[in-house]
Amino acid sequence: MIILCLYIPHLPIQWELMRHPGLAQSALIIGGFPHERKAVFDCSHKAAASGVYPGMTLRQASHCCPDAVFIPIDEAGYAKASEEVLDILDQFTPVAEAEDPGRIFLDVSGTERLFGPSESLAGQVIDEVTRTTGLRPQIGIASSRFIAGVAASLAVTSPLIVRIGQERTFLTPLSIEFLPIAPESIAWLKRLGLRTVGQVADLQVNALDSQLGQEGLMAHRLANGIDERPIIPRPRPDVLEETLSFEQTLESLDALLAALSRSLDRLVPLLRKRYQVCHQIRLSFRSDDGSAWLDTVTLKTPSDSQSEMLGILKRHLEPLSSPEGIAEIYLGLAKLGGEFGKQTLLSSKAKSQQEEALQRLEKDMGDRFVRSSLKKVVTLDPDSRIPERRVALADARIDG
Amino acid sequence: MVTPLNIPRDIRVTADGDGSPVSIWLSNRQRRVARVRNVWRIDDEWWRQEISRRYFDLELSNGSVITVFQDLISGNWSRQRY
Repeated sequence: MIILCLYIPHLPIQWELMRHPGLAQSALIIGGFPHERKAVFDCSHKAAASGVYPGMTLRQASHCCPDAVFIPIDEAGYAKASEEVLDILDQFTPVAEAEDPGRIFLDVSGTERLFGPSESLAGQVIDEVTRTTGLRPQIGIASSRFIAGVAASLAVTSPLIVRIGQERTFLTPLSIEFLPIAPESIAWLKRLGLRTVGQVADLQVNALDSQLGQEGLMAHRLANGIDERPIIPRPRPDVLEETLSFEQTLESLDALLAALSRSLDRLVPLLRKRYQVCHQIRLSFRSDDGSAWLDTVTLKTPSDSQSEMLGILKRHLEPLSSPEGIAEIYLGLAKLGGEFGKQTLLSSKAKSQQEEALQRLEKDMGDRFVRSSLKKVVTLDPDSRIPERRVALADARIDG
Repeated sequence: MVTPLNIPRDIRVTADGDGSPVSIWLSNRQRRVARVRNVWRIDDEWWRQEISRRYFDLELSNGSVITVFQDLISGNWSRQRY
């Protein structure tokens, strides 16, 4: 198993600085306002340099750093940022788990063929997350989530990769503060003179069990590099959906189809990114007088094509009475399934459809394999007396 | 990158004294040659890596047809569509 840990240090601070760039030079404290009976949730380096730390009361923090800017917690915002990062990581692997908003674990076993060795993968993940969100992650890669998580915490300047077989060497000199056990347990270990993870690993497991119970057993296992906890991916929505509201109501079928087309433009790429097809389209319209209309269209052939789905919707809606006063529409791509193979008779399609189908095929194959596997037959010497000199396979590219 | 198509594939052939196939092995089964429909020879690319082959268009005992050739330089037998 190869686990990648993406750690965004001080995610709340980074998030707030992205929203309020003018605060970049200020000491920032997140948790509320100094008069509130609350604790510091997170703080910037400048505030930390003045002695502020998470868990300190806000009143104390304001004494330590009187010039600090205080901001209330925006948990929904931090969770949204974390979800955004998870969405980005989907392109690397669907097996991703957010342990908390700033720490995400991915099972990247078997992805070398797609993304190259660990160093290359780490670089691509950092580039993609930074480019898309502006957040700056740290990456650790190891054979277990505990070691990957510790490595990510230490990977301040560049990704840290712990090779298989090097786990004990990596863990041995680390402080026991890295073990995910209660502060009281850390204190007890320190009273025994234990300072490093290696020392904990060398202890008799019975001693830890008798004093610390299950927590001690876990600490011993982790200190020895044993961590079999799986990565539990977030449940994927089984409907990709969107609701659109209009200030000016839609009064014609053309206007309605144009709105549905725009919605499909956004939803279909999400479907394709997951290599899924849609078996059912759900529609609902709400008029400005409050009346609603709901319908479900089951596709005879599951599809991931925007043009196919729009055509189906058009044929489905045309016989109905002309829509009037539509203030809101809901479109849902439902009953999402795994990949669906179908024999495509390209010759029966219009040229533009052929090109679209081939371009999609080329992109899908390029996404899955390091090199595109698309080939074309080329004629070399049709009159050659040597049969293998007549035709050959060459790499193909579909030009738009 | 260009990959030739219709590359010759090795085949096991039993030939008579004249070098004409009497049986071939397909999918680990021996098939008797019912009739030799055609024979021809090619000699080419002497300036590069000389190619010298004798082709046989064969009808097998089960009615199927197949084209094989003997490489006249190495003596090896191969099957290939012509």
